[in-house]
Amino acid sequence: MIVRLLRESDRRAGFESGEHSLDDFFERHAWPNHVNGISRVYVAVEEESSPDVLGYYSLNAGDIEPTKVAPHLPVPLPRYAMPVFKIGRLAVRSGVARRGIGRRLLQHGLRTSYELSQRVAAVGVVVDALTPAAAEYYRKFGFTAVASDTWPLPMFVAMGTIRDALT
Amino acid sequence: MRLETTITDRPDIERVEYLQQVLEVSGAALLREAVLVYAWAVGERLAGRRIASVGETGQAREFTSPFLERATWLSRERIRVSSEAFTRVAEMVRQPPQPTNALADLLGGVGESEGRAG
Repeated sequence: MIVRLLRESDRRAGFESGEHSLDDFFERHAWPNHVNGISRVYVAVEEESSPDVLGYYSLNAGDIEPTKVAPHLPVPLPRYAMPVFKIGRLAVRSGVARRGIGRRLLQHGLRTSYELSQRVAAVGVVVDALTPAAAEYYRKFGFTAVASDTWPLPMFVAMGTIRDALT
Repeated sequence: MRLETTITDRPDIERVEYLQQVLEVSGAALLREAVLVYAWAVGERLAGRRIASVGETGQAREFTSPFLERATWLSRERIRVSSEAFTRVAEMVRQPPQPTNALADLLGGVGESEGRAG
């Protein structure tokens, strides 16, 4: 299994993960987003040339910002928006679960984010957990919820933590 | 391009008739105007801005709709959090927590990254 960028020839129709919003995004929005540079979509496939997608994730730049101007923060950090990378959606096709595909996609997303952060500033990575079970899964990897009682739940891990895990 | 639609719901019919009367325009002109306004609204959401009306006292009322919110899927992500959560994030940035065992295990195997441009 490998993870590579989405191609136009990849099979998107009929992708089913069991979560409608993720399937709808992949079928209708993933390619337009990808080709227009709005977000990059990576897919897990058995082989480089295979169009059968086992799972996917989307990655794009974003900002984490306070709803109100934040109180005094430890200098020299800004009190306004801070740049992050966002793994917006991550889904594994039903029927191929329990093969570590989600884990491989998350690994790829975090490594890619770290590599990009060497050239484009970002203080961390944010994921959206759709369910409490997903939140628990991300928590194991050090993600911290940055909201409460909000679903999807945004969760953050610092780029410094990713760096330390890589080295 | 030819675009035809039939409106059957009474509230929708009344809404269209009301707009035609107020604006003194035909159905076709109303549709053109509606598309123009909607395209603007989608563009604003794509740029990460919100749609709101502002009263004389400065009080704003935000407009949202399920379809319009789809546009946010396409926008640069703006993750809005409470001041307290933002402060926690800032502290994690300043002093990154130690990786959990699971994260160290996930990222520890150098050379497993298989990303390729396709």
